Amino acid sequence: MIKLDKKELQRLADLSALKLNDNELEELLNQITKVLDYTQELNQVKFATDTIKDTKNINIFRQDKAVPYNSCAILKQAPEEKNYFFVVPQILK
Amino acid sequence: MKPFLTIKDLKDKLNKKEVTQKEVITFYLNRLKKYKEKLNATIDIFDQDNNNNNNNNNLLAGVPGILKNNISIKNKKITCGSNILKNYIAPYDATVTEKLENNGAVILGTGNMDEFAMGTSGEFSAFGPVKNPWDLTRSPGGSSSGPAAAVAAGLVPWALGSETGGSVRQPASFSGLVGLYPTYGTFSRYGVVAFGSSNDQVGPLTKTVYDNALISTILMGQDPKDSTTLNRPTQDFTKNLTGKLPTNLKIGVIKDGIESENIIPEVKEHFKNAIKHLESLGAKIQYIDIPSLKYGISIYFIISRAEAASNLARFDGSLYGSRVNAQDLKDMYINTRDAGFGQEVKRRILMGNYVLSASHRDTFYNKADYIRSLLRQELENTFKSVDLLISPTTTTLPFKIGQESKDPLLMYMADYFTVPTNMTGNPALSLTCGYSKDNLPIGFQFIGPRLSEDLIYQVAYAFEQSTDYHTKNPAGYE
Repeated sequence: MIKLDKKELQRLADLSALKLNDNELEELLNQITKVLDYTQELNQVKFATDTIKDTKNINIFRQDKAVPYNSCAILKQAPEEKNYFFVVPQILK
Repeated sequence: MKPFLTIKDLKDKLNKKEVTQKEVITFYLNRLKKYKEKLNATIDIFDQDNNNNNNNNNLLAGVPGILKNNISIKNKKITCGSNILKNYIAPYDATVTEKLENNGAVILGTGNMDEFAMGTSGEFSAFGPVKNPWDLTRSPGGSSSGPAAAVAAGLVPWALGSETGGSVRQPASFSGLVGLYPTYGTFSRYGVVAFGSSNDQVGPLTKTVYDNALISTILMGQDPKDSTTLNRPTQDFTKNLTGKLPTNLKIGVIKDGIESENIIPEVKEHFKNAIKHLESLGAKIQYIDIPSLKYGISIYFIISRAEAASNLARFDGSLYGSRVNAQDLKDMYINTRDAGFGQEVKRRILMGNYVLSASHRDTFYNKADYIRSLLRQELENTFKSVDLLISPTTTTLPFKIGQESKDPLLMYMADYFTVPTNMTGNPALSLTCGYSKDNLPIGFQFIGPRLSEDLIYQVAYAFEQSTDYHTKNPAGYE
């Protein structure tokens, strides 16, 4: 069984920048525990990384070259924008 | 004009000048609008003001379709079915959008979907659930719910969905369509909003195998803007559609597909008929056990949620999308995400961050990643003795609307046969193999070795052309 409690879920919510009320906390705790419990079947598999030679992952490189782009179109999507900058609320208190 | 024309039929009519491109567009626009309320398949419908009279030699000249709303179309809304992006306008075209338009396709709208493609019934859309044209009390599947419902009801001849864990094939199965998940890296992801980046691929939804092969032919190709696209020569997937199986074709039946008690009897029965039919066409049938297949759901849970949590971190109200303001930055993030995300998205982000957290990473993420490699290797070995594998696409008939929210785990389990190939990146195609006694479509799927789309299409076409499942349409959309 997975030991996930309200306190840890609340901590995860904080880290994820999510807000959970008590009801949501309760419900999500149940649902997430159920799914995590289900994944415990993976413990039947012996971890033996040395036996697996996985697909040949290779790096794909491209020129590090700036291409002109209509940045106005992107800035126009900002919730708040001033003199070509994104505006966000105060960061330091 | 009559509804339910295939792309092939429609192109024929256009070439013979029986209809003009303008008439075609008006006809489908009217259908999309007429059934908008009944099915809720679309988010936006685009009135066409220009004369899209394009060169008839183009592969999709004047042929209308819709794109799932997580695929960018320049200057159109890309909501991803979420409140957080409900007013967001795509500043550029996805590569797949560009390819379709370069081939003459006319994009008439955007398809409704589960929020950020997270869901299997379409019910997690912030814009309301989509109805299945075969039975309005049921879901057309998800997360590509709108694209599937639109094609099934003949509102457009084709649509583009996207798949991270069965989200094209399952709706294809529930809606009586053909749906493909290609070899990972075959279609560009540039401009497609990310959910699980190591699985995400777009996939065509069509009435027939030929139409599906045609769209895939257009979509494929390496893209400098997506470094995960494969350097793979382009192919014309319609070329080998002869109606015959290749000689000595060996098909492996995944044993779970006929033995598992989780599959409802009607699905099993029609799947068994499909096996017999393939045998009668000349295929050699073997029954195959893939030991790690049963872990597919678990590793998908872990990996897709981990990737989702990372990918969705960018939605914080600072650069784009909706914002709910606050005194300081952190609270602005929290308020924005709280108002913007639905329950399922929050559930997946939390689970993703749980399995990625330092104290759990080894037991969850690293383990899942390891078993993913194991499964990939098992499949690779299996394809040394058979050419293709088959299984039911899903274990159930289309879900009743309202079922999903009650028990998420139960609904996730229906993806038993689809998610393993998303984990391994193997191509798979769902095709109709019958209808239930209540006239609901039932699908099965072909799974192939990497890069085997051509063979999959060839075999699926032979199956389709020797049966009449693809000629049926839901009633009430004439």
